Amino acid sequence: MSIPISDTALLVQFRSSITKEQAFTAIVKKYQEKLYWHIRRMVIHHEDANDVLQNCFIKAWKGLDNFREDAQLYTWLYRIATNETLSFLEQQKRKRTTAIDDISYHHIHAIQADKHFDAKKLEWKLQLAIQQLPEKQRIVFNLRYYDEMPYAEMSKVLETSEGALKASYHHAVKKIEDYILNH
Amino acid sequence: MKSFNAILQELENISPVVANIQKQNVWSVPICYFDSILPAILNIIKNDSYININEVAEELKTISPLLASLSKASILSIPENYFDDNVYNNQHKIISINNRKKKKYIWLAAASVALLVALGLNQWLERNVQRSGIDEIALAEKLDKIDEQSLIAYVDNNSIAEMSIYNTTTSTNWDMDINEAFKQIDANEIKEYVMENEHLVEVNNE
Repeated sequence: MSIPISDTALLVQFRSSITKEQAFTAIVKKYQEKLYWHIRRMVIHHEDANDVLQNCFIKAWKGLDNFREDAQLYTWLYRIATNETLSFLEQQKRKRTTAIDDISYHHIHAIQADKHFDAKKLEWKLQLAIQQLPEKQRIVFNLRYYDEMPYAEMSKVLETSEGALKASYHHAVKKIEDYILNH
Repeated sequence: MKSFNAILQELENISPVVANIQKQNVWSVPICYFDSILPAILNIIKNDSYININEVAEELKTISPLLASLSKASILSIPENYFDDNVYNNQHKIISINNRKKKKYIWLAAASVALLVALGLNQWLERNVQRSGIDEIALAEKLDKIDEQSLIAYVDNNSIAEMSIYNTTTSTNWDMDINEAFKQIDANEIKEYVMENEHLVEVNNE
């Protein structure tokens, strides 16, 4: 039996006990990479991204039966991924008993420690610049710049007004530009 | 494509420097990582006793293949935005009491209050009456124990009958006090006293 691709059809299949696992498999395969990179750009380390991603899909498994379809499936999954990422970063802060700035320093150090890191390349400078941003601003920038998410969808993911998101993105880009020009 | 162009245009408007950076993924991922995610997640789900997919599905298939084939989606409709409404905005069931019953309850309540007040007042009165009663009985008992001679001697020595005309001072000027007292007593009273206490007069004369 072939599994339909549309999210609506996947949800219907998921709610049937016979096709539940197959539908879930299709959902994971469809969204795993997007969600992984969304998480990875925030947590930096692959192992941490893997843990957070697994938690996301387990939550999705538990919550899909009650998903009211008032938003698109991928919006709902992105919201879970964002919340799980923020919770993970919060836990990291508590473990280290340091402020968020120290977490950014830790991430910057991890970027610079990457075996492919090249300080001269703009792509790596961009990563360092992104880590200078506050958490929420970083998420907004990543969703818009990398995932090309419309503000309307982003508003549902982050539960913030479109106006605030536009302003946040504008400031984020300006800060990144400033970092790149001065480093 | 339209949205992509719009996003790129937006970025160029804000910062041409950032817009010109090649959007390249700098991060590395373990080989075949994305093939391994699903089995790992399903393994966790299957081992979780609360969300064991195989056991529940298989059990239902065994009991009733028809039921197992049905969708679990709810067929019941609910008002729009029902779950978004604050619980305090929900209308609560109001139980109304009709007028006759209301009056009955009010009378019952008033009667209960009146009864409580009456009981309390009664308790208070009894307590106060008893206290003074007990005092009177105790005093009477004590007086009964004292012999007549001692009482008379006490009355004579202390001139209790006359004390009411004196101030409550600590004056020891008994002579003056007695003189003042006798001024208040007429001759007939003195005669009566003497006749009643003849035996004392005889003793004194001796």
